[in-house]
Amino acid sequence: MTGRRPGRRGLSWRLPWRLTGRLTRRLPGLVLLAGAAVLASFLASHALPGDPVMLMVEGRAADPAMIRRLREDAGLDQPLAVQFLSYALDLMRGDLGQSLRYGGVPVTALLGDALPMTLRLMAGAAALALPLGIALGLAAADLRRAWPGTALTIGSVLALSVPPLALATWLMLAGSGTAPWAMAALALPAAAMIARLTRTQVMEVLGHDFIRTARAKGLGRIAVLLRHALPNALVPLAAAVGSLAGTILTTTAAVETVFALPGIGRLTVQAVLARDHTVAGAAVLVFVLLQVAISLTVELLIGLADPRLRDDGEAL
Amino acid sequence: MIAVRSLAGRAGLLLAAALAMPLALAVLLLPLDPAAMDLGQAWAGPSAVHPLGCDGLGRDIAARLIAGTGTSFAIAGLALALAVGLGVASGGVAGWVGGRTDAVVLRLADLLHGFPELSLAIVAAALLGPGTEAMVLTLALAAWPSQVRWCRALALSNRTAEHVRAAAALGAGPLHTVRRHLLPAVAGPVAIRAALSIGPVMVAEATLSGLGLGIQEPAVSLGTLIRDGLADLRDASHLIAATTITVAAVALAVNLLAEGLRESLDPRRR
Repeated sequence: MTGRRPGRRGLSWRLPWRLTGRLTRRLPGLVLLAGAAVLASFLASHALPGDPVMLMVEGRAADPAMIRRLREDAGLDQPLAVQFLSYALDLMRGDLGQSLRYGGVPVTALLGDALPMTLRLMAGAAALALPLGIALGLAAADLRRAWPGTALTIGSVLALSVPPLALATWLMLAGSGTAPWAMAALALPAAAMIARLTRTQVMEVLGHDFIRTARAKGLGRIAVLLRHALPNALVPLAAAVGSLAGTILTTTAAVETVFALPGIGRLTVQAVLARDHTVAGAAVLVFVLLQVAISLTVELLIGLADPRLRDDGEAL
Repeated sequence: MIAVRSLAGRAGLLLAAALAMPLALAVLLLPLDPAAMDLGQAWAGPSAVHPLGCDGLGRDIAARLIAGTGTSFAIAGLALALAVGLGVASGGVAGWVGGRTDAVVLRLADLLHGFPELSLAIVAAALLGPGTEAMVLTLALAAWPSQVRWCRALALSNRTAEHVRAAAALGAGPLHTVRRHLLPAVAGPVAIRAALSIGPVMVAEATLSGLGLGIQEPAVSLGTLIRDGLADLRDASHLIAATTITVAAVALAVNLLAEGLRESLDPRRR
């Protein structure tokens, strides 16, 4: 201990440093992931059965000379390795190529138009799902022996069993096709997953001796849960919730498709179905970036509650 | 049945039985062909011959649901068998050998974990062509990282366990130790983990195929059925209702049974 008074609360001026420290440790992995994601994105947009040029001229009269010229313009006559290098270089300049379906429209413009919708949807759902999931998880951990605990467990299993497309359809048919219902369709399964994880982590903490001590000194059940169990469960919880990011993205795509919201998920699904390979390939990269962004954000949000990180005291 | 010891397991068994009875009746009493078309029956509501009605091509929805559930189970089983097999092999070796092997395997698992299902599905469909193989590969790759970490942790904790060190002290070779002492110790936890994954993998298949990124026509899975239902939302609500309710009920039964299994085998709950 540093000799400071224990229990001191409030944000420390060292916080930004500690957060940077956390990120730096993940940097090598993130760089490797970025490289792999660019390669995957290139493979999805280039190494394909089927010829994008044929798709461009589909339904129009095109003579072989013109097809050859189009192919040369697009660099498709080069070896794959050369194509990959130029793809990576273009990417660094912020150029992801042009959509095959909407001739000439830059992929970055399509993605840029779609991204705000997806981010709004996810932010709204997170604002709903995080508090709801953590509250339900705490309740389930506290009441595990009584029937409400079992009911909550079964309820969360039920929410996990309903495919996102089904839930979104039911909510759209029962409610309306407006944005709040879409957010609910995204938030409910997320809240169920968070509740399960919270319950597991909190039950783990409730088995420790200091919980018994807290109870023995006369603290009430709710005070024990909120002051002792939850803070100690938050750090592992942050990591676990961060790993849900992939499922959350799939659910987002499902919700956007059902509610016809022009976000990244719907754009991608339509691009894949229309064999718009440049957009689909770029989406591979965007989803990896979104997943990293979600898991880092959740880790930071929940991780802020980590006393070692937040309070002025011993450095991490 | 061990799973019946807990409430969740009992609920799951009850639900599975409730699903199995109409299934048995349908298989015994009805001519079930998921591909047979009868355009005169297009959008027909429930009747004696077609208990759940027909879709836009006059195909029997009950027959398609039964066939689709079978496909979805097969795909989930295949993907999990791949993920668990590879996971036990790579994770087990990583945890048992340690050192550089361990670091490489962990890095690889972290790398793959960084790819969301959607990205994997797009890349797999681009490389293999959209369809069953791409879907199985996607689901297996998505499930592999967590299997690796789990098997690695199990191997790591068993490596220093008393019974393993005793075997080594008695002169057992590494192969004998792995076969007789490591594998039996990890089999149970690995099986529980796999059972818990069946439901989520089926839901993932239903979602990806439902979006059009997975199983393709004319193959039938729970996902393609949802997709058909979504396409014809206005014409026939009975199609989307029957499909989504079936998918949810099947996944719920599987999840509850797995949950029951986990709870009854959890030493903290005995």
